[in-house]
Amino acid sequence: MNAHAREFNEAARQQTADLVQRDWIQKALAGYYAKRDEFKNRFSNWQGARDTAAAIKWEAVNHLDRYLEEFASRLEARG
Amino acid sequence: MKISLFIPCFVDQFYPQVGMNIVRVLERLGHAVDYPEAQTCCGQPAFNSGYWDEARAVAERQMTVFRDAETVVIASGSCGAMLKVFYPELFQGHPRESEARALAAKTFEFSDFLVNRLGVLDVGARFPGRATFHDGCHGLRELGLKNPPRQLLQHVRELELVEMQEAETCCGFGGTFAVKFPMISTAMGEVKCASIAETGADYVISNDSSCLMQIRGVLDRQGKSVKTLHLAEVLAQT
Repeated sequence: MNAHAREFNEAARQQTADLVQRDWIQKALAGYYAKRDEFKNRFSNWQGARDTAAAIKWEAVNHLDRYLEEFASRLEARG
Repeated sequence: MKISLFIPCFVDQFYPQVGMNIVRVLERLGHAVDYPEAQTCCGQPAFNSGYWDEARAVAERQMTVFRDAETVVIASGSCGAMLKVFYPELFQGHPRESEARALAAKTFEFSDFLVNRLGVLDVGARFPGRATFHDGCHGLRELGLKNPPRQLLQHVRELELVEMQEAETCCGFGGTFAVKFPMISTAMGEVKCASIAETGADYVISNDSSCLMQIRGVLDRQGKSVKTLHLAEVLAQT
């Protein structure tokens, strides 16, 4: 095990033993999930929306050179 | 229908009653079940650890063993995902790719098979008690099986099924994860068991024996009397 792994394991040991922080995180997560579910329910096809978003991201990331140039020139055209 | 059983390592080594109860349920529904004895492991531990060549060697054996099977039913979402989702990936560009895809197409996790393949929701089971269901990660996230186990359990007479807040949260086992990061795995298991306790359920049910082993371990350490059961063990009760 290298030094990074040792450090990580020690930090993880301490963090996971902190039950006060764990409780805080669980509460924060519960609030997050409630908000997330609220947004999910606004879509008639949640998985479809996710797939579409993923496809858009994939397209953008794979043609970033073109899209960045287009974005910059359009922005400049607006003054 | 002629069904060939794929028995995951955990079931083979620690929980054989899961396999036996799957046979009970399938035979009760009037199907013939066989168990190709030459089968071994699905290869997932090697695959997950980056040893794809080794995983392929193991997977190739399974592909040969199950080549003539009509339908393959698997007792876990974890191995189910390995065969259904990851074999095609593992064999991409390989001479046996089409075989891998063929096996993936005819393989079903147990609850998936009952509900989506046989179209059966009521298997004639009776199990008095209050239970909650734990969604194993592979079955839920790779195979998309949120509803089938619940639909089956809803038709079990006298069973009261309650949902826990953290039903979809990982139990922390993750196979090699529990070995490499035991403190994190344990903390995740404790969060899961706290959620189970909140429901007041006497039983926690899942379709993955590995998750059940993790949950059982934490519950035992905590001295809790909640019992862990595989879906097949509940459905086999009459």
